[in-house]
Amino acid sequence: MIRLQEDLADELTRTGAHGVIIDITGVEIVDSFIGRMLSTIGSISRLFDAETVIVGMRPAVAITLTELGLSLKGVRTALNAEKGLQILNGKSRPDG
Amino acid sequence: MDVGTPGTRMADYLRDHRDKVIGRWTELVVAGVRGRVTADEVQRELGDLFSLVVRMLSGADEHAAGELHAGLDELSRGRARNGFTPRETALGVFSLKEAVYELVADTAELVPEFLAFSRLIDDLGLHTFEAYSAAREQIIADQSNAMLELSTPVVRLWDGIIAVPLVGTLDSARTQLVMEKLLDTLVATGADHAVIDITGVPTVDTEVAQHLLKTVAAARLLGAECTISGIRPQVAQTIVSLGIEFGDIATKSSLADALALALKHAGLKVVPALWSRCPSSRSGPRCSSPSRSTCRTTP
Repeated sequence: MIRLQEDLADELTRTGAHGVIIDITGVEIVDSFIGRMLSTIGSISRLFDAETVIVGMRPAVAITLTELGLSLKGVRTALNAEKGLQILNGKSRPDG
Repeated sequence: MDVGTPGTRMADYLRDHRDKVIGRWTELVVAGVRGRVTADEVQRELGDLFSLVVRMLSGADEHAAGELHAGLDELSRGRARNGFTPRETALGVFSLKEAVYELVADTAELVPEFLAFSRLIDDLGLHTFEAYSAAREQIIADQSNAMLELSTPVVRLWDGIIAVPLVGTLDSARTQLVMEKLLDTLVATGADHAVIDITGVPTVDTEVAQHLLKTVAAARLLGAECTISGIRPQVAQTIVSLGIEFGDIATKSSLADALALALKHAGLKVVPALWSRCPSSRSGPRCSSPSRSTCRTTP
Protein backbone atom coordinates (compact mmCIF):
# COMPACT_ATOMS: atom_id res chain seq x y z
CA MET A 1 0.00 0.00 0.00
CA ILE A 2 2.85 2.41 0.87
CA ARG A 3 4.46 1.49 -2.44
CA LEU A 4 1.20 2.22 -4.25
CA GLN A 5 1.01 5.66 -2.63
CA GLU A 6 4.55 6.51 -3.72
CA ASP A 7 4.02 5.26 -7.27
CA LEU A 8 0.76 7.13 -7.52
CA ALA A 9 2.30 10.40 -6.33
CA ASP A 10 5.22 10.00 -8.78
CA GLU A 11 2.87 9.23 -11.64
CA LEU A 12 0.56 12.14 -10.83
CA THR A 13 3.52 14.54 -10.88
CA ARG A 14 4.82 13.07 -14.13
CA THR A 15 1.55 13.03 -16.06
CA GLY A 16 -0.36 15.82 -14.36
CA ALA A 17 -3.49 13.65 -14.42
CA HIS A 18 -6.71 15.03 -13.00
CA GLY A 19 -8.40 11.80 -12.11
CA VAL A 20 -7.54 8.56 -10.34
CA ILE A 21 -9.68 5.43 -10.64
CA ILE A 22 -9.00 2.65 -8.18
CA ASP A 23 -10.68 -0.58 -9.22
CA ILE A 24 -11.11 -2.86 -6.21
CA THR A 25 -13.18 -5.56 -7.93
CA GLY A 26 -10.55 -8.09 -6.96
CA VAL A 27 -10.52 -7.12 -3.30
CA GLU A 28 -12.56 -9.59 -1.31
CA ILE A 29 -11.44 -8.83 2.23
CA VAL A 30 -10.75 -5.42 3.75
CA ASP A 31 -9.67 -4.23 7.15
CA SER A 32 -9.51 -0.80 8.74
CA PHE A 33 -5.95 -0.32 7.46
CA ILE A 34 -6.96 -0.68 3.81
CA GLY A 35 -10.00 1.51 4.41
CA ARG A 36 -7.78 4.26 5.82
CA MET A 37 -5.25 3.85 3.03
CA LEU A 38 -7.95 4.41 0.42
CA SER A 39 -8.87 7.68 2.14
CA THR A 40 -5.19 8.63 2.33
CA ILE A 41 -4.78 8.02 -1.40
CA GLY A 42 -7.77 10.30 -1.96
CA SER A 43 -6.12 13.04 0.12
CA ILE A 44 -2.76 12.64 -1.66
CA SER A 45 -4.43 12.84 -5.06
CA ARG A 46 -6.32 15.95 -4.06
CA LEU A 47 -2.98 17.66 -3.32
CA PHE A 48 -2.20 17.10 -7.00
CA ASP A 49 -5.65 18.44 -7.93
CA ALA A 50 -6.82 15.02 -8.99
CA GLU A 51 -10.12 13.42 -8.00
CA THR A 52 -10.20 9.82 -6.81
CA VAL A 53 -13.00 7.42 -7.69
CA ILE A 54 -13.11 3.97 -6.16
CA VAL A 55 -14.98 1.56 -8.40
CA GLY A 56 -16.14 -2.04 -8.37
CA MET A 57 -16.54 -2.45 -4.64
CA ARG A 58 -18.13 -5.76 -3.69
CA PRO A 59 -21.22 -5.74 -1.45
CA ALA A 60 -19.41 -7.73 1.25
CA VAL A 61 -16.56 -5.21 1.24
CA ALA A 62 -19.00 -2.31 1.49
CA ILE A 63 -20.73 -3.96 4.46
CA THR A 64 -17.40 -4.56 6.21
CA LEU A 65 -16.28 -0.97 5.71
CA THR A 66 -19.61 0.28 7.05
CA GLU A 67 -19.39 -1.98 10.08
CA LEU A 68 -15.90 -0.61 10.70
CA GLY A 69 -17.38 2.86 10.59
CA LEU A 70 -15.38 3.94 7.56
CA SER A 71 -17.32 5.92 4.98
CA LEU A 72 -14.28 6.84 2.84
CA LYS A 73 -14.63 10.59 3.15
CA GLY A 74 -12.88 12.52 0.43
CA VAL A 75 -13.18 9.89 -2.28
CA ARG A 76 -15.99 9.30 -4.74
CA THR A 77 -17.38 5.84 -5.38
CA ALA A 78 -18.98 4.30 -8.45
CA LEU A 79 -20.40 0.93 -9.34
CA ASN A 80 -18.01 0.21 -12.20
CA ALA A 81 -15.12 1.74 -14.13
CA GLU A 82 -17.47 3.11 -16.78
CA LYS A 83 -19.48 5.08 -14.25
CA GLY A 84 -16.26 6.14 -12.54
CA LEU A 85 -15.03 7.63 -15.81
CA GLN A 86 -18.36 9.39 -16.25
CA ILE A 87 -17.89 11.04 -12.86
CA LEU A 88 -14.36 12.14 -13.76
CA ASN A 89 -15.50 13.46 -17.13
CA GLY A 90 -18.01 15.65 -15.36
CA LYS A 91 -21.01 13.82 -16.77
CA SER A 92 -22.19 12.96 -13.33
CA ARG A 93 -25.16 14.47 -11.60
CA PRO A 94 -24.52 18.10 -10.74
CA ASP A 95 -25.17 17.56 -7.03
CA GLY A 96 -23.21 14.30 -6.65
CA MET B 1 -30.32 -49.58 31.26
CA ASP B 2 -29.95 -51.96 34.18
CA VAL B 3 -33.47 -52.90 35.24
CA GLY B 4 -32.67 -56.27 36.86
CA THR B 5 -35.23 -58.68 38.24
CA PRO B 6 -37.77 -56.12 39.52
CA GLY B 7 -38.03 -54.81 35.98
CA THR B 8 -38.63 -58.27 34.60
CA ARG B 9 -41.31 -58.95 37.15
CA MET B 10 -42.95 -55.62 36.41
CA ALA B 11 -42.80 -56.43 32.71
CA ASP B 12 -44.56 -59.74 33.31
CA TYR B 13 -47.18 -58.03 35.43
CA LEU B 14 -47.82 -55.35 32.78
CA ARG B 15 -47.99 -57.96 30.02
CA ASP B 16 -50.65 -59.87 31.99
CA HIS B 17 -52.75 -56.74 32.51
CA ARG B 18 -52.07 -55.16 29.11
CA ASP B 19 -55.64 -54.42 28.05
CA LYS B 20 -56.66 -53.08 31.45
CA VAL B 21 -53.66 -50.72 31.72
CA ILE B 22 -53.94 -49.43 28.16
CA GLY B 23 -57.66 -48.91 28.62
CA ARG B 24 -57.22 -46.82 31.75
CA TRP B 25 -54.20 -45.00 30.30
CA THR B 26 -56.18 -44.06 27.18
CA GLU B 27 -59.06 -42.84 29.35
CA LEU B 28 -56.76 -40.55 31.36
CA VAL B 29 -55.01 -39.16 28.27
CA VAL B 30 -58.24 -38.54 26.36
CA ALA B 31 -59.65 -36.69 29.37
CA GLY B 32 -56.48 -34.56 29.45
CA VAL B 33 -56.45 -33.51 25.78
CA ARG B 34 -60.10 -32.33 25.77
CA GLY B 35 -61.32 -34.18 22.71
CA ARG B 36 -58.77 -32.96 20.22
CA VAL B 37 -57.66 -36.53 19.49
CA THR B 38 -60.03 -39.49 19.17
CA ALA B 39 -59.85 -42.31 21.69
CA ASP B 40 -59.00 -44.84 18.94
CA GLU B 41 -56.06 -42.79 17.82
CA VAL B 42 -54.76 -42.40 21.36
CA GLN B 43 -55.24 -46.11 22.03
CA ARG B 44 -53.19 -47.02 18.97
CA GLU B 45 -50.36 -44.64 19.91
CA LEU B 46 -50.32 -45.73 23.51
CA GLY B 47 -50.52 -49.43 22.56
CA ASP B 48 -47.27 -49.07 20.60
CA LEU B 49 -45.61 -47.17 23.45
CA PHE B 50 -46.82 -49.70 25.98
CA SER B 51 -45.28 -52.60 24.07
CA LEU B 52 -41.99 -50.72 23.92
CA VAL B 53 -42.07 -49.94 27.65
CA VAL B 54 -42.69 -53.64 28.42
CA ARG B 55 -39.87 -54.70 26.09
CA MET B 56 -37.53 -52.23 27.75
CA LEU B 57 -38.50 -53.35 31.27
CA SER B 58 -37.97 -57.01 30.46
CA GLY B 59 -34.38 -56.12 29.55
CA ALA B 60 -34.23 -58.78 26.84
CA ASP B 61 -34.03 -56.33 23.97
CA GLU B 62 -31.26 -53.68 23.84
CA HIS B 63 -32.92 -51.79 20.97
CA ALA B 64 -36.12 -51.23 22.94
CA ALA B 65 -34.80 -48.12 24.76
CA GLY B 66 -33.80 -46.43 21.51
CA GLU B 67 -37.09 -47.30 19.84
CA LEU B 68 -39.05 -46.06 22.83
CA HIS B 69 -37.22 -42.74 22.79
CA ALA B 70 -37.75 -42.40 19.06
CA GLY B 71 -41.44 -43.19 19.49
CA LEU B 72 -41.77 -40.57 22.25
CA ASP B 73 -39.91 -38.01 20.11
CA GLU B 74 -42.33 -38.62 17.28
CA LEU B 75 -45.35 -38.30 19.56
CA SER B 76 -44.07 -35.11 21.23
CA ARG B 77 -43.23 -33.48 17.92
CA GLY B 78 -46.72 -34.23 16.66
CA ARG B 79 -48.23 -32.77 19.83
CA ALA B 80 -46.05 -29.63 19.57
CA ARG B 81 -47.05 -29.08 15.91
CA ASN B 82 -50.74 -29.48 16.69
CA GLY B 83 -50.62 -26.84 19.39
CA PHE B 84 -50.93 -28.98 22.53
CA THR B 85 -49.67 -27.47 25.76
CA PRO B 86 -46.55 -28.91 27.44
CA ARG B 87 -48.77 -30.16 30.27
CA GLU B 88 -51.01 -32.12 27.91
CA THR B 89 -47.99 -33.63 26.19
CA ALA B 90 -46.20 -34.69 29.36
CA LEU B 91 -49.46 -36.02 30.80
CA GLY B 92 -49.48 -38.57 27.99
CA VAL B 93 -46.54 -40.31 29.65
CA PHE B 94 -47.22 -39.60 33.30
CA SER B 95 -50.76 -41.03 33.15
CA LEU B 96 -49.24 -44.48 32.59
CA LYS B 97 -47.86 -44.26 36.11
CA GLU B 98 -51.28 -43.42 37.45
CA ALA B 99 -52.96 -46.15 35.45
CA VAL B 100 -50.51 -48.75 36.77
CA TYR B 101 -50.64 -47.40 40.33
CA GLU B 102 -54.40 -47.86 40.46
CA LEU B 103 -53.85 -51.52 39.58
CA VAL B 104 -50.96 -52.32 41.92
CA ALA B 105 -52.20 -50.22 44.86
CA ASP B 106 -53.60 -53.30 46.58
CA THR B 107 -50.66 -55.57 45.80
CA ALA B 108 -48.12 -54.92 48.53
CA GLU B 109 -45.36 -57.18 47.13
CA LEU B 110 -44.97 -55.07 43.96
CA VAL B 111 -43.85 -51.88 45.76
CA PRO B 112 -40.11 -52.00 44.84
CA GLU B 113 -41.01 -52.86 41.26
CA PHE B 114 -43.45 -49.99 41.09
CA LEU B 115 -40.85 -47.55 42.44
CA ALA B 116 -38.35 -48.58 39.76
CA PHE B 117 -41.09 -48.35 37.15
CA SER B 118 -42.07 -44.92 38.43
CA ARG B 119 -38.50 -43.69 38.08
CA LEU B 120 -38.42 -44.94 34.52
CA ILE B 121 -41.65 -43.12 33.68
CA ASP B 122 -40.30 -39.88 35.18
CA ASP B 123 -37.26 -40.21 32.97
CA LEU B 124 -39.44 -40.79 29.92
CA GLY B 125 -41.57 -37.79 30.89
CA LEU B 126 -38.53 -35.54 30.93
CA HIS B 127 -37.47 -36.94 27.59
CA THR B 128 -40.91 -36.14 26.18
CA PHE B 129 -40.68 -32.60 27.40
CA GLU B 130 -37.24 -32.12 25.87
CA ALA B 131 -38.48 -33.38 22.52
CA TYR B 132 -41.54 -31.16 22.81
CA SER B 133 -39.56 -27.98 23.45
CA ALA B 134 -37.03 -28.85 20.74
CA ALA B 135 -39.89 -29.19 18.27
CA ARG B 136 -41.38 -25.87 19.38
CA GLU B 137 -38.04 -24.10 19.02
CA GLN B 138 -37.70 -25.57 15.54
CA ILE B 139 -41.15 -24.24 14.62
CA ILE B 140 -40.24 -20.75 15.87
CA ALA B 141 -36.92 -20.78 13.99
CA ASP B 142 -38.66 -21.89 10.77
CA GLN B 143 -41.27 -19.18 11.12
CA SER B 144 -38.80 -16.38 11.70
CA ASN B 145 -36.76 -17.57 8.72
CA ALA B 146 -39.85 -17.56 6.54
CA MET B 147 -40.72 -14.09 7.78
CA LEU B 148 -37.24 -12.77 7.00
CA GLU B 149 -37.47 -14.06 3.45
CA LEU B 150 -40.95 -12.69 2.94
CA SER B 151 -40.33 -9.26 4.28
CA THR B 152 -37.33 -8.04 2.30
CA PRO B 153 -38.14 -7.56 -1.36
CA VAL B 154 -36.07 -5.24 -3.50
CA VAL B 155 -38.05 -3.86 -6.44
CA ARG B 156 -37.00 -1.99 -9.53
CA LEU B 157 -38.87 1.30 -9.92
CA TRP B 158 -37.19 2.55 -13.06
CA ASP B 159 -34.04 2.09 -15.04
CA GLY B 160 -31.33 2.68 -12.47
CA ILE B 161 -33.75 3.27 -9.59
CA ILE B 162 -34.57 0.54 -7.09
CA ALA B 163 -36.74 0.56 -3.97
CA VAL B 164 -36.75 -1.42 -0.73
CA PRO B 165 -40.15 -1.33 0.98
CA LEU B 166 -39.46 -2.23 4.61
CA VAL B 167 -42.28 -3.75 6.65
CA GLY B 168 -41.96 -4.56 10.34
CA THR B 169 -39.36 -3.85 12.97
CA LEU B 170 -35.75 -3.49 11.88
CA ASP B 171 -33.33 -5.49 14.01
CA SER B 172 -29.66 -6.23 13.34
CA ALA B 173 -30.31 -9.53 11.61
CA ARG B 174 -32.88 -8.01 9.27
CA THR B 175 -30.76 -4.96 8.55
CA GLN B 176 -27.94 -7.26 7.56
CA LEU B 177 -30.25 -9.15 5.19
CA VAL B 178 -31.77 -5.97 3.73
CA MET B 179 -28.31 -4.48 3.26
CA GLU B 180 -26.99 -7.57 1.51
CA LYS B 181 -30.01 -7.78 -0.77
CA LEU B 182 -29.93 -4.08 -1.58
CA LEU B 183 -26.21 -4.10 -2.38
CA ASP B 184 -26.49 -7.27 -4.47
CA THR B 185 -29.35 -5.75 -6.43
CA LEU B 186 -27.40 -2.51 -6.93
CA VAL B 187 -24.52 -4.51 -8.39
CA ALA B 188 -26.78 -6.78 -10.46
CA THR B 189 -28.89 -3.99 -11.97
CA GLY B 190 -26.23 -1.28 -12.08
CA ALA B 191 -28.70 1.08 -10.42
CA ASP B 192 -27.34 4.32 -8.99
CA HIS B 193 -30.32 5.34 -6.93
CA ALA B 194 -32.06 3.46 -4.14
CA VAL B 195 -35.20 4.42 -2.24
CA ILE B 196 -35.66 2.93 1.22
CA ASP B 197 -39.36 3.12 2.06
CA ILE B 198 -40.11 2.87 5.80
CA THR B 199 -43.89 3.29 5.62
CA GLY B 200 -44.27 -0.18 7.15
CA VAL B 201 -41.79 0.35 9.97
CA PRO B 202 -43.90 0.95 13.09
CA THR B 203 -41.37 2.85 15.16
CA VAL B 204 -38.01 4.44 14.49
CA ASP B 205 -35.74 4.59 17.50
CA THR B 206 -32.01 5.29 17.66
CA GLU B 207 -31.19 1.66 16.89
CA VAL B 208 -33.38 1.50 13.79
CA ALA B 209 -32.01 4.85 12.63
CA GLN B 210 -28.48 3.57 13.13
CA HIS B 211 -29.32 0.58 10.95
CA LEU B 212 -30.79 2.79 8.25
CA LEU B 213 -27.71 5.03 8.26
CA LYS B 214 -25.45 2.00 7.94
CA THR B 215 -27.42 0.73 4.96
CA VAL B 216 -27.20 4.11 3.26
CA ALA B 217 -23.47 4.37 3.97
CA ALA B 218 -22.88 0.93 2.44
CA ALA B 219 -24.93 1.81 -0.66
CA ARG B 220 -22.93 5.03 -1.03
CA LEU B 221 -19.71 3.05 -1.05
CA LEU B 222 -21.04 1.33 -4.17
CA GLY B 223 -21.64 4.73 -5.70
CA ALA B 224 -25.40 4.76 -5.25
CA GLU B 225 -27.41 7.58 -3.73
CA CYS B 226 -30.13 6.70 -1.22
CA THR B 227 -33.38 8.40 -0.31
CA ILE B 228 -35.44 7.47 2.74
CA SER B 229 -39.16 7.77 2.13
CA GLY B 230 -42.42 7.03 3.90
CA ILE B 231 -41.72 9.00 7.06
CA ARG B 232 -45.02 9.39 8.87
CA PRO B 233 -45.79 12.41 11.09
CA GLN B 234 -45.42 10.46 14.35
CA VAL B 235 -42.15 8.95 13.15
CA ALA B 236 -40.87 12.40 12.19
CA GLN B 237 -41.71 13.65 15.69
CA THR B 238 -39.91 10.72 17.32
CA ILE B 239 -36.85 11.21 15.13
CA VAL B 240 -36.63 14.87 16.03
CA SER B 241 -37.24 14.38 19.75
CA LEU B 242 -34.60 11.64 19.89
CA GLY B 243 -32.17 14.00 18.18
CA ILE B 244 -31.44 11.59 15.34
CA GLU B 245 -29.55 13.25 12.50
CA PHE B 246 -29.92 11.85 9.01
CA GLY B 247 -27.20 14.19 7.82
CA ASP B 248 -27.16 14.78 4.08
CA ILE B 249 -29.43 11.84 3.33
CA ALA B 250 -32.52 13.01 1.48
CA THR B 251 -35.78 12.15 3.22
CA LYS B 252 -39.25 12.33 1.68
CA SER B 253 -42.71 11.79 3.06
CA SER B 254 -43.90 9.50 0.30
CA LEU B 255 -42.46 7.02 -2.14
CA ALA B 256 -43.82 9.15 -4.99
CA ASP B 257 -41.77 12.15 -3.85
CA ALA B 258 -38.68 9.98 -3.53
CA LEU B 259 -39.21 8.62 -7.06
CA ALA B 260 -39.60 12.16 -8.39
CA LEU B 261 -36.31 13.13 -6.74
CA ALA B 262 -34.54 10.07 -8.11
CA LEU B 263 -35.87 10.78 -11.61
CA LYS B 264 -34.65 14.36 -11.31
CA HIS B 265 -31.18 13.15 -10.33
CA ALA B 266 -31.18 10.77 -13.26
CA GLY B 267 -32.02 13.67 -15.53
CA LEU B 268 -35.54 12.43 -16.27
CA LYS B 269 -38.79 14.31 -16.09
CA VAL B 270 -42.41 13.17 -16.08
CA VAL B 271 -44.64 15.29 -18.29
CA PRO B 272 -48.30 15.02 -19.41
CA ALA B 273 -48.84 12.66 -22.33
CA LEU B 274 -49.15 15.38 -24.95
CA TRP B 275 -46.61 14.67 -27.62
CA SER B 276 -46.52 18.29 -28.72
CA ARG B 277 -45.21 19.24 -25.29
CA CYS B 278 -42.38 16.76 -25.40
CA PRO B 279 -39.26 18.80 -26.11
CA SER B 280 -37.17 15.96 -27.50
CA SER B 281 -39.87 14.79 -29.94
CA ARG B 282 -40.24 18.25 -31.37
CA SER B 283 -36.58 18.78 -31.91
CA GLY B 284 -34.54 15.90 -33.26
CA PRO B 285 -34.87 12.14 -32.74
CA ARG B 286 -38.06 10.38 -31.68
CA CYS B 287 -38.77 10.20 -27.96
CA SER B 288 -37.55 6.80 -26.72
CA SER B 289 -38.90 6.88 -23.18
CA PRO B 290 -40.04 3.62 -21.58
CA SER B 291 -43.57 4.83 -21.00
CA ARG B 292 -45.91 6.96 -23.06
CA SER B 293 -46.41 9.49 -20.32
CA THR B 294 -42.75 10.18 -19.74
CA CYS B 295 -39.92 11.25 -21.87
CA ARG B 296 -36.19 11.69 -21.63
CA THR B 297 -35.30 15.32 -21.66
CA THR B 298 -31.88 16.58 -22.49
CA PRO B 299 -30.21 17.62 -19.25
